[in-house]
Amino acid sequence: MEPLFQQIQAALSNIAECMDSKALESLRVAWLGKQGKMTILAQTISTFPLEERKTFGADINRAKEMLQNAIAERQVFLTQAATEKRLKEEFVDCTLPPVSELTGYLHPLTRTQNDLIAIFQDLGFQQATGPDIEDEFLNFTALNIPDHHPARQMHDTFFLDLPSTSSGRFLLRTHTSPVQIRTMRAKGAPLRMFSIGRTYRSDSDTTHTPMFHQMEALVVEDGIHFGHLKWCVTEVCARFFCVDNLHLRFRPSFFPFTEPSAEVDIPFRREEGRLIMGEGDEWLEILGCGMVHPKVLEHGGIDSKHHQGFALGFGVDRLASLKYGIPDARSSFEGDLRWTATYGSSPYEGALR
Amino acid sequence: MKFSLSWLHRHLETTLSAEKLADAMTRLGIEVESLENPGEALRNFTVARIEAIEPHPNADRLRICRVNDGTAVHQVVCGAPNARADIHVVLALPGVVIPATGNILKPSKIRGVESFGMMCSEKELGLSEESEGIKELSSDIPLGVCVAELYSDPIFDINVTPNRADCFGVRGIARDLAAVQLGTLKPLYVSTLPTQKAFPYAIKYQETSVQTICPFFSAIEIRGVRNAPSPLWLQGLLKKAGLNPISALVDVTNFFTLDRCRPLHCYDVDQFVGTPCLRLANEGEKFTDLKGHTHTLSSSMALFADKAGPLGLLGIMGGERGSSSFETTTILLEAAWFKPESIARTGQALCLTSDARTRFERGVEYTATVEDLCAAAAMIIELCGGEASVPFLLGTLPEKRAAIYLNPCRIEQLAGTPVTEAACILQNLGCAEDSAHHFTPPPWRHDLAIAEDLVEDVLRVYGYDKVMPCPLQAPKRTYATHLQSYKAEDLKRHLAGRGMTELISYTFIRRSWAGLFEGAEAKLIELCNPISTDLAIMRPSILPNLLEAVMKNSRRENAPFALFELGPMFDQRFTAYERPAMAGIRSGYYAAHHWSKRVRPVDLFDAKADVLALLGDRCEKLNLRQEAPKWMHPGCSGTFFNKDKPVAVFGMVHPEVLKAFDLENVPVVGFELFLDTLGSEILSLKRAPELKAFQQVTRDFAFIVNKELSAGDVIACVRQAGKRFVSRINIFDVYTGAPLADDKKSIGISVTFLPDTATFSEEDLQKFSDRIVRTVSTRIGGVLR
Repeated sequence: MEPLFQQIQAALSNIAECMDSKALESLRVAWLGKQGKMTILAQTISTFPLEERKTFGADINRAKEMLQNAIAERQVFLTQAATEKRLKEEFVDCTLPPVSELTGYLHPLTRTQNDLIAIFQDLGFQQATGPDIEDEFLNFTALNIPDHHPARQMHDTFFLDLPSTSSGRFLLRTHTSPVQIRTMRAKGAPLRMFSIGRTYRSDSDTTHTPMFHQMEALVVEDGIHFGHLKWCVTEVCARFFCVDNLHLRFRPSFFPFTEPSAEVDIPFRREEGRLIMGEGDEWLEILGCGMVHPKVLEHGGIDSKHHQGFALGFGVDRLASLKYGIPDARSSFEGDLRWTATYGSSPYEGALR
Repeated sequence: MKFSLSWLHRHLETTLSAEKLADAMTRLGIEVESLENPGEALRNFTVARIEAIEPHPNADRLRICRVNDGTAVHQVVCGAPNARADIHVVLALPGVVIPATGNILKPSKIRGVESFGMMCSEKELGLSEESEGIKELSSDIPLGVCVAELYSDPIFDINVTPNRADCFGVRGIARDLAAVQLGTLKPLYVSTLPTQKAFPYAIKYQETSVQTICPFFSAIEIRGVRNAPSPLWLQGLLKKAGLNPISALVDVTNFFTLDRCRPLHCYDVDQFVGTPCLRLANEGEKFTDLKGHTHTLSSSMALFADKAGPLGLLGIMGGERGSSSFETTTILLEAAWFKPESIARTGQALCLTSDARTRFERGVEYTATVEDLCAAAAMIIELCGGEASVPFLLGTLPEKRAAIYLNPCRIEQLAGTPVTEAACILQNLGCAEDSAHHFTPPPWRHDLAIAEDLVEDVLRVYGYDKVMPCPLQAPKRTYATHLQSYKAEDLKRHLAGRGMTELISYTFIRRSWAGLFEGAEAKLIELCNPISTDLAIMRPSILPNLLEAVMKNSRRENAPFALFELGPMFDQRFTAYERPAMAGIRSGYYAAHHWSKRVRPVDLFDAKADVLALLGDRCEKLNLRQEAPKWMHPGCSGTFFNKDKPVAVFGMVHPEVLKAFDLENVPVVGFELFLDTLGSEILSLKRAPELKAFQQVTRDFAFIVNKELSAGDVIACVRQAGKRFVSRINIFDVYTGAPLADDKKSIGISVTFLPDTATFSEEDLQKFSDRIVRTVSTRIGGVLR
């Protein structure tokens, strides 16, 4: 039997030196395959005398096992080596830049509007909308702004080249207040509504843009008085600017559509060139409000003898500037993407953050 | 309006500081925009005397002065011609900031002579716009006195609301302050005119309609006046109110305008040609005002005029001819009352502002017109001499106004707090309580007309800050939200999440751009009075705004851009002239100039993908057709229709349009989505899905079809064939060229079969495939490749 073991030894060293899976497979076939040497050798068992067969069989099996183990071991080695080789070859410089994706931003006014909408909805106000193109009646007359009022002149209001109706000329609304009239007429009292949107005035300088945004809120409910107005304005400002113990200044003023009327100032201080809203020695005007003028209620189809309410309105662009520290109102509408990337917000950020 | 504390003190006895008074005014509704004390800047200047003066050795115009400030004598080189020994001057020593220039004074050598200070002029001190020579002070002021003390007179700059014409006079402000017990109102200075002659003119209304503009007119003639600069006290008051002193005659009229809110005008009688009258202007008549500007009048405007033409535009401004000068010796002093609306209309029509217009159009007090006329005449005589006529009166003053009933409950109803002292407050403000709870407003308060107006007055004096805030009740009608706005916000987030940036732009654009987006039957809406031609037409589409932004941003950086906007678009055909829309633009190349070499231009499928993302499930109900408006590339665009209403448009932007935006060589795609076509089905409930465990099977087909058929046609056909078992269809290949005939193309389509009751058998699948192949063949002539 010595020659068998010598042959096996040679095969084993061939297996151990084998450098690729294919060669290893040929070796396996040559030795252990159906026509392999070991298979053929095993068939010779019948030529042996009975007493030797047992030993011979055991030797054959041992030899087979040795070969199988060696092949399996080598297979593992070759697989590992191949993996290592592949990993070594597959090197990529991780410092290279990826293909840059576009980042989308929402306009800061959108975020401000969403903040405000969330606040008003939480206070039980429902949103109402109106068109940008209004007529003189809804924009002025219904709001108790008389014919000769300066606001009705060409140099303040954009009029449109459209055929006039019994409600006067068409124009770009100068405030969101016409939505008050529309909503009062559509829904009647009681009413708790707000509206937000584009408004227009024939003004263009460092602090004015011919288009801007206004927000407007109206409450017509039983027993609504000036105290409710003060609470509501304070609540909205405190939530919007995230300030505790906010003390606003309500200053008598004049608007044709409210009586009594008030302008509201918020305290602020300056810190390293920034404005900190809600506390300090200086005042900034942010909002106009008052108890709805009886004539306005009547134009809204609401009996002013039995109902009263308050209204408030303010510039959204200005609030956005104050909250997010935006220096120039005009840049808001210039479409400069560097600006939007600075002041805009991600679509994945919620309101009020 | 500006006025100084000393002017207020002429009407109000008070010991309160300017700051306290300013705060009180603001809380009363007379908003103090600024409170400045010109004296403050003079804190470091001292009163000194020139002890001696001698010529400068090297300069003819300069002199060397020895100036004593009470503690030391300083050498100062000075060029002022009025510098002379023994006058009292204002001295600044090194280190002091000169108000006019903001520079810090330093010791210097002037033409070789050292100077250790500066004697200042009014201009350098910031006390007036122009001045000659150094400021000379009265010699009874002790040396060393701080100059700030001499000029300490805080100036209020107030913002008067349109309803409070009375506050355009210092008297009116004093009245309000007295009403809140911050001082005592002083009696008005009344002077009696000396012996009076008859008034020499029979001035008439030429037409009765003039009377509707000027219901009341009064005048006094004064002969023998000597016009000259007005006294310093008057000049000082006017200067601090921001007015330039002109002459005694003009200054007196300005003084009454600001003091009692009583605009007056002073005519030079010697320039009259015949007897003047009050008449309507002729249509197109020219009028040159006293500032030399010429206006074209219309027949709704009233003039004071003589035979030679207009002398003054009543209630607004005097004329170039007929106004007083230093040569004037005989004057006609006018005090009248005008209908506010008339003055407002005239002023607006001519774009002519004046202190008189500001007051008359808001409504001045009228009962004291003649009284004030006489007081002004007396002041003129005091300053300029002369003899006055008796006052001439024409027309009638408005009747006494009706009392307003103020139910005491109304105050608590509106204010939320009772104000027990309401009647007292109203009386302090000048209202007369004729009978219980009936108040007649004072003649200077034209804004008080209804009970609510009285409530405001009571409340502002009582104090807005004393009203306690009161929480709103929990809302009665509750949590229904506004679908439209939620939806719009969702759409914005969709696009921003897809890398697009939101813009908000002007809804008016230039005509040339608007024209590019004007559909076949569109009718643009034009502004009557645009700010500029760039902002003249209401946009018929949002795309031009976005293209403008791409153009502008491209000039700054070369990058792919993705922008969108949500807002209105306008056309005369739209209901209410507008509809809400959303538009987006993508431009440039992705991965341009990148090491991976994966560069690709934007294409219409980027825009289509944006639209699909926005439409979501709605797409299934829409038809897509290969057509689009003229601003899209006709071959590379499409429109989603709901029946025959366009819902969304997408595609490559037309090359001619791109040319107009300087984007000729840039790939640009875009879309428009019409939000009013979407409906509000967003919250509708969906059927629960059947989540079955059967395996889906996908089979690929390649059909050779006529070239003009679209992929959509093939998909529609396959979907039709496989209604019950097809769950998904995808196009994986489109091929033209050899070996296909020129008019053919091959479309590779993969179809996914979804079993309903049991996993499909091989026979099932074969049956389905056969049916698809058969349908494609019979319906659209497609042949399996």
